[in-house]
Amino acid sequence: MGKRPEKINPINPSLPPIDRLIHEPARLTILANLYVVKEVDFIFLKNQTEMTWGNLSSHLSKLEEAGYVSVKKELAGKKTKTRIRLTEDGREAFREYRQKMDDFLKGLPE
Amino acid sequence: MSEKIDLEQLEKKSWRSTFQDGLWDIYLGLIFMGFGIYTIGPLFGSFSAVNAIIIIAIWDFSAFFFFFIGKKKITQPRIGFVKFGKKRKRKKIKLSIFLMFMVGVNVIFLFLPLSGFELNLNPLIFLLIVGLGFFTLPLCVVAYFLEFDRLYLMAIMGGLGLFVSELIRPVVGNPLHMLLTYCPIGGIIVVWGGIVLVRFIKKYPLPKSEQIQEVKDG
Repeated sequence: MGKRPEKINPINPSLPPIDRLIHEPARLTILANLYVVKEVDFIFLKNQTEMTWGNLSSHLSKLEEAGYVSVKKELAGKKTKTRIRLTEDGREAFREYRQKMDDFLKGLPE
Repeated sequence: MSEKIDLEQLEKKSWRSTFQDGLWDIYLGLIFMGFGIYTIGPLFGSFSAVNAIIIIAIWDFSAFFFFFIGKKKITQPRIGFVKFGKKRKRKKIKLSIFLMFMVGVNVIFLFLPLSGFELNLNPLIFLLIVGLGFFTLPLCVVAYFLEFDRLYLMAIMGGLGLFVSELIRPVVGNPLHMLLTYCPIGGIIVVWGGIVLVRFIKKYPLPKSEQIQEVKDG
């Protein structure tokens, strides 16, 4: 399990601390897509996120390092099947992020 | 709240992506065609119930085989694998309960004439009720649970088919009326399924294996 990134808002301490690992748009897209399903493979995730293979790979590695995403490889005959899912930590971190962003945006004047 | 709606949309988008290959349309279109195909028996000899059952069984099995192979060889390599969460599981259970209920209702209505119960209805009205009640309605419920919009149209076409077949029976005779009704209905659905399939193949080309390997290796 990776170390959860530090959550401090360096710009303004009164703003809610946001998980910067999740805040990055590409990773947020990956996490949101994983949040609504149980398990996917690379191809499905690539199609849903519309990212390039390289981008997807690099962001997934970061999320896996943080322990937000689990990438499991299973042998199915001669082929390797890869299954990607959100870990409990990842699910919780995403929920927390949503809540904070929601609270923050709701507090803004019209 | 808007985020909740967006996540729901995202889940729906993922779910609906599993129906965009046109294979369900082709499969159901072939099944509809099967309702008419069994009447080709007399063209090759005598018509009997056994002949009809054999023809329908071979036809439906071939349709299912095409569907199964298509999902495995065309769809999955292109859109990949996805397993949905609890929401979809609950919907599947509700749908299964409904389908079991419909099987029960069908069995009751099948044996109703044996109990001496008779419906003195005009055959056209009777087939309209049967078509809409036992065909269109259940398929619409399936479409609702699966969120598969094209299925509503297929349900209406399939349900009205019985009525149309009865309508043309005096002109073309029995059992050709079924062939001339359900083959065009099924054929239209197969063609539109084919168009959806071609669009799907164009939209989702096969990924190169080295690209996938690159991602797997990180």
